[in-house]
Amino acid sequence: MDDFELVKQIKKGNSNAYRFMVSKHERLVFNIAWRMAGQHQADIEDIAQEVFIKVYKNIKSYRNESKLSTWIASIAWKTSIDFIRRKTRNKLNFTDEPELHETQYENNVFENIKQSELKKVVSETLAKLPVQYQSVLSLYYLEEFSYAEIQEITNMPLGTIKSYLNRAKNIFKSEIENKHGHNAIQLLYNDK
Amino acid sequence: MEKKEDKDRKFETLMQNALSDQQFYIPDNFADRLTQKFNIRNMKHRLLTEWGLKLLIIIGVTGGSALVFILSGSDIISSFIHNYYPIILILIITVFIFFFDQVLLKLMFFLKDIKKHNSK
Repeated sequence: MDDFELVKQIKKGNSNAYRFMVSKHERLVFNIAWRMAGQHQADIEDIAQEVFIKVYKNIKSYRNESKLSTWIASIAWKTSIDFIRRKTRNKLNFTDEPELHETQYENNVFENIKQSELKKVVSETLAKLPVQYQSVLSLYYLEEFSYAEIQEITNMPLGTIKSYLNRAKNIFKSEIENKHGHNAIQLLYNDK
Repeated sequence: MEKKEDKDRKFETLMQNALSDQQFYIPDNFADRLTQKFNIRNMKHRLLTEWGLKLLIIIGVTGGSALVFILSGSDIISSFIHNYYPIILILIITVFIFFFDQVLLKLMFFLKDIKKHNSK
């Protein structure tokens, strides 16, 4: 069933279509809520629930101009931001820049580095990034949205999105380099 | 020498792996719970629309009859105007009973059915 038919059925009040839509997009919504609004399972569930209720309430305003997943992700994004605003009493600061302290690690030779170690470095670095960086990275790499779709979801300028992705990439490069030496980075990139 | 695309792909895979480490779980009944809310909301909307339509028909028929009485010069209307208090009271009670029977009662039975279905 394509997005157009699915939305048509939901508008008609077909509960099976609604269930199908929730099951299809729940992981995306949970992921955005988790990246944006923190680590509490109850909070994530509340946000996800609110998102799908909003989807139903506003389904009539959905135009088939964008993918349903993009539209749902944009609702999830806005709902998560509202949630953070409520929780932090408007002290939301999306101009945060990553503060990563450079640490000197011993320069291991590249051959000794395992994929799991690289993954660990990436995960640790990721956790240190501000939420908006994490979310944009997640939308791009995990959910595989295009720049234009991320722009639609987040309402951020295209330049900001590209800059987030590039800066994050550079941060990962330098973190991996710090921990595993220059050779490690050479395997991943040849533009270094 | 590896191509740039291959290396970018490696980085992409690495990022995907790291990002897929998600520390949340999606409850098994999450979609069912939401579908239930969807059904309740739909039911409320349907019952209220039906009630509204029926009420409009009744008001239309009553209004039409009143117009006929007025045009025929009957003195029923003037006696209604003199005794407006009990008539308005009866009307309010009737509308409430109609609302209770057509909306609240049906909704209560619907919710009871859902509860019964959940406890199975």
